[in-house]
Amino acid sequence: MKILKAFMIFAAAVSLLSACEYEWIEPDLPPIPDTVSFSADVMPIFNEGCNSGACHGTGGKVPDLSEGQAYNALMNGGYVDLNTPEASVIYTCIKTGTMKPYAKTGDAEIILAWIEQGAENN
Amino acid sequence: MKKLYIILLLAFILPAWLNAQEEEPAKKVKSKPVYEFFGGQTIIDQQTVYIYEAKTLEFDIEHRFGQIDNISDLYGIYGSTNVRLGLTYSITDKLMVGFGTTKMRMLQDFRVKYNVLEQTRDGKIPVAVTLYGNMGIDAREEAYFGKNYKFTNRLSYYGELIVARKFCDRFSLQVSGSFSHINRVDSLLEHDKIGITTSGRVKISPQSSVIFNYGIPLDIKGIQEHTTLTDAPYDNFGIGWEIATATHVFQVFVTSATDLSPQYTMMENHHDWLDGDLFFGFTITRKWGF
Repeated sequence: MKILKAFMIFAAAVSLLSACEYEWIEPDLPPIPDTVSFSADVMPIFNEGCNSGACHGTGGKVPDLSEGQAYNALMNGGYVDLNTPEASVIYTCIKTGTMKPYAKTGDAEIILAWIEQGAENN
Repeated sequence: MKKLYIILLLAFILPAWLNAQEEEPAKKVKSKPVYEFFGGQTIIDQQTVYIYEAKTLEFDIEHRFGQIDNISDLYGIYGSTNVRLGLTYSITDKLMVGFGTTKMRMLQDFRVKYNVLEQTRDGKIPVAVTLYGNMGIDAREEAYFGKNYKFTNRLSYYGELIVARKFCDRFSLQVSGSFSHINRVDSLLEHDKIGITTSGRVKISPQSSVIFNYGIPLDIKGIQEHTTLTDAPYDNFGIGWEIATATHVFQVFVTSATDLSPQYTMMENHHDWLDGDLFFGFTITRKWGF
């Protein structure tokens, strides 16, 4: 019963101390390199938020974004649109779509810059 | 859709009004409440009006597989979109509190549910009314919140008024109005959203039922911050099968909502069920009475 009381006091305290706020996320954008490297700039994004476990790792859901597989999976699977980079599925799903909760601010911009520069396997 | 809600409202109110017209003055007898509106305290993605009896502890496992797409990942079964583990406890017959942790956004949620009004068997009170509140803490690292981070950026809230009626042993229906708020959102999104949800259960055997759920985030200009919504959330829809026993509830369903907290389902559901964005999911609950 003591634990329950503590829980309720905590829940009430947090609710009271923090009223509704109306703030916007101000993207903390990292400087985008002049030449975006797929291995040095894009793969770390996939390694951190995408290709673990049963998500987009080998044997998981398509596209396979694991090391050594990601580039071919993106280019052959129709996830990159070189003519209209902003329409690329890999960009839109991170920027505003279903994968947004897994992306940090700035991740989508790096991927967009990489596509705009020709989406090379560099 | 408005007509549908008017019909639902009449369906809730009319039987009780007609009952009242037919009844003769009788000696005062305490009305007995209607029990077990639903098999459990949730239906797919939605809280029900129902609260377990006092001193009941419940453990919940909620799971959403990957999107139903093709055989390559067995229609989403090999993928995992979201999972939540939670505990709830009924302090009294009318008050429940709970806590849960969710994979998506590493959300830690505190919830409370209070039964304001009970439907009575004699029809004097035609509906049950329950209030539900939820506060979520997004526990991801600071980089997800952008510049000028502070702790309250992580908080989100959900409040809901649920009205339900058990029409007969086989059929229960509830309609709810909700208010969702997220403290810090992306520039394309809204901070507030009002929504309406309808959920129901049709019993097909003593333990088995068909369950369904439909939630509509409303675009209300008065509280809207953007003149046009470029990233408006979709309605969420779910339908499934429930097996309820004395101590367990099993629900297997398809749904278009993968967030396991209602505020994010109302505000950021990007899955259009009409376009086939559906997911298999299940909920397993185990309860203990003390």
